[in-house]
Amino acid sequence: MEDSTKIFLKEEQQLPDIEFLNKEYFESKYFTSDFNVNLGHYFGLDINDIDEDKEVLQYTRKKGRPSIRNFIPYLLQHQNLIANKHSLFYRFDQKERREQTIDQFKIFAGFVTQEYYILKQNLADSERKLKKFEKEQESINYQRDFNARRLNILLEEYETISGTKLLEENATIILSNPANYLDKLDAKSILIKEDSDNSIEKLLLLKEEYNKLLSEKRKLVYKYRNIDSSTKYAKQYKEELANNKNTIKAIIHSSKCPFCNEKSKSTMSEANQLEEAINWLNDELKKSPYLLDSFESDKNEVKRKIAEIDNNLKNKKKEMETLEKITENLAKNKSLNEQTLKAKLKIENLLESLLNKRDNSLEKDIKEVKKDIKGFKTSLKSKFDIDKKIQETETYINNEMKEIGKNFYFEKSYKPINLRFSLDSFDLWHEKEDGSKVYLRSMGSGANWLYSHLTLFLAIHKFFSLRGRDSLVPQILFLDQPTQVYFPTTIKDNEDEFSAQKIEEKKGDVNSNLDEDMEAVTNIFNQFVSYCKNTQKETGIEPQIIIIDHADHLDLENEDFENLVNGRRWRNRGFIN
Amino acid sequence: MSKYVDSIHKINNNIFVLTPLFLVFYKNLKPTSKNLLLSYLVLPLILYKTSQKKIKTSKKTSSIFSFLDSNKKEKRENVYGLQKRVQEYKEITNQCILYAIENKWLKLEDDLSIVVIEEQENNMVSLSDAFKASSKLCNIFKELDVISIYRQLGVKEL
Repeated sequence: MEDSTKIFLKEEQQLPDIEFLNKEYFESKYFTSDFNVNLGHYFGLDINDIDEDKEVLQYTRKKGRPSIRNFIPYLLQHQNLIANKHSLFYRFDQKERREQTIDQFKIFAGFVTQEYYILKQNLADSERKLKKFEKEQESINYQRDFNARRLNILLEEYETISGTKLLEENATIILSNPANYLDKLDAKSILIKEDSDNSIEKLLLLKEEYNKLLSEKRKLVYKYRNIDSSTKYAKQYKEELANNKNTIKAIIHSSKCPFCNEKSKSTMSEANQLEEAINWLNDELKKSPYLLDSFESDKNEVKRKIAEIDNNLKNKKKEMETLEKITENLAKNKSLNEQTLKAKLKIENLLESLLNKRDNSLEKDIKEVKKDIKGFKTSLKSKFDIDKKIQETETYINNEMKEIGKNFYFEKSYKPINLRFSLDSFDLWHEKEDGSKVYLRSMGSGANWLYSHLTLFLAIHKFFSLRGRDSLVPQILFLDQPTQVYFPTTIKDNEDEFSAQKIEEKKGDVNSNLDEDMEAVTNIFNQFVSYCKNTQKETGIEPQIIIIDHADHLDLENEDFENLVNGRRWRNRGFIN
Repeated sequence: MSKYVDSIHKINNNIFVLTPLFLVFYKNLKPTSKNLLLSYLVLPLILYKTSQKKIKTSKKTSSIFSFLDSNKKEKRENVYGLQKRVQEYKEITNQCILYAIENKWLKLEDDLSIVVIEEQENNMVSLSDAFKASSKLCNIFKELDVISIYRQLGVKEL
């Protein structure tokens, strides 16, 4: 073919005889470059957008559309996989493929439709919107608090000047409806109590608070100095260590009598001993670089506290100044009336500025988005309820594995076998009676691995059969040499006929247990036969298991082996003749 | 004014009032070799209000680790500025010890451990808390050797 990216796809009403397919049959018009997608449509795969949140696409790649390629892990157990202890599914060593397959299970099981992903996207959009609105709300609330504080200060200022309250309500209530209170203010005339000593009381109170803060600050500064000295010593010590200066300070210490200030002879020897001891201690201490945790963080904390107090002090001072200004202004012949009016105007001004800014729509928006989110969540639950379905599926598969596993020859220590499968991680493990988990890789022995694989895949296909038309995955299981555990593939079977005896001889195993091995192999096939029949009985669909293997002429319980082989012995030919 | 301050300082910080603090400290401390050197930690620890309070309320089960736990910030306050205070109190400590030896209240053994011969009462009301703390300082020091104590407290030089 000249264009290697295109693949042949032709729909036939009747399957043509494979013997007569020649080059002419493959007409070029049936070659399509969109093979995968088209093939998927035949399997009922009509979902093309499986992103659950459009916004994250900025940071990650768009999720690929689900593809029939991801059916393969359910269908195929090739020679190196079927008894593998490290991997269960085809190509799961590729992280991306593994994640896709796990993610798309809900699609293949027919649990979801395209609508599910649209709902998910809408939900993610709305949740993001809500977050944005809530942030806006937060900043508005912050602004409101700020205004409330400001208003409180102004109201107090008015009160101290005039000796009367301008409004009875507190700041938050006034701010909740500024227009209303503006009207009230318009109607209200200024009232002044000339004999009020409000401002003096207030001033004294402020002064007291100011002094209290000041003393608090002093304490902190003292603490700060102490920490500072500690950190300085530590720093200095480190530097000295780094320079490795091993200088010993010699302290000349002449002991004097503390009473008469004359040199005392009797204590001279003690003094010298002391001198030596101090030198010894300093030496010893220098030997180790041991240091306490740095105090820098404590220092910073105290510094922050001091800054806080400084700020407080500044505010208090400002208030005090405002009050003192009243007296000052009075002296300058500005009447109380005039000053009160000014304070009132300030309050009106603040309220007016808020009048234009007020935005009620945000709360409405938030309410609406919350309603949307609730709606999306409800439809997701009522229409799909993925979590519950996945849960039920896990239970179903686990129960089936219990039934199917019973009949396989697991080793004694794993009997009764209790395999568990997780649809979250696609992990398989044996759960002991005490609840501890034994993962496949630590189970040991080829037979256990093989039977674990078989049990799991039979159970999964039974589940797909149960889903019937809803399941997208065809009920076909392809197994390549399941008996290799008993007849290793490393031994070349080049005879015209299968002979267990001959393979056993080639193994050169003295303690051969041929009979047991043959019995185990026969049992595997017996189980396949009864599985297919049971599944048909229970679900109405008979899965197809295709096996290629060396084992031959088996004596099965409920089926003639020749019927199953149906003349397809390929001992002397390859796949393409 | 400065003279006034100096005088007050002298009244409160002289060897005659401070020496009993050392006597009560050594009375309760188990004798170990070179424990003379621990005397330099006494005044810096028990005259500093923060650590004084902690030592005063210490119990037999206390230790240097309950005194200074690196996980608890408020405990670190106990040693803020300790190194500086050790330097500041060094000279007066020297004097106090020599004064006590001269008066035969303390005896210096050959291994530089200290034995108390005669106790002295504390006569200063303002020092009663410090006196109590000094008597309990052994709860913190326990039987640790001198170097470990200095190290744990973060004092790197004498």
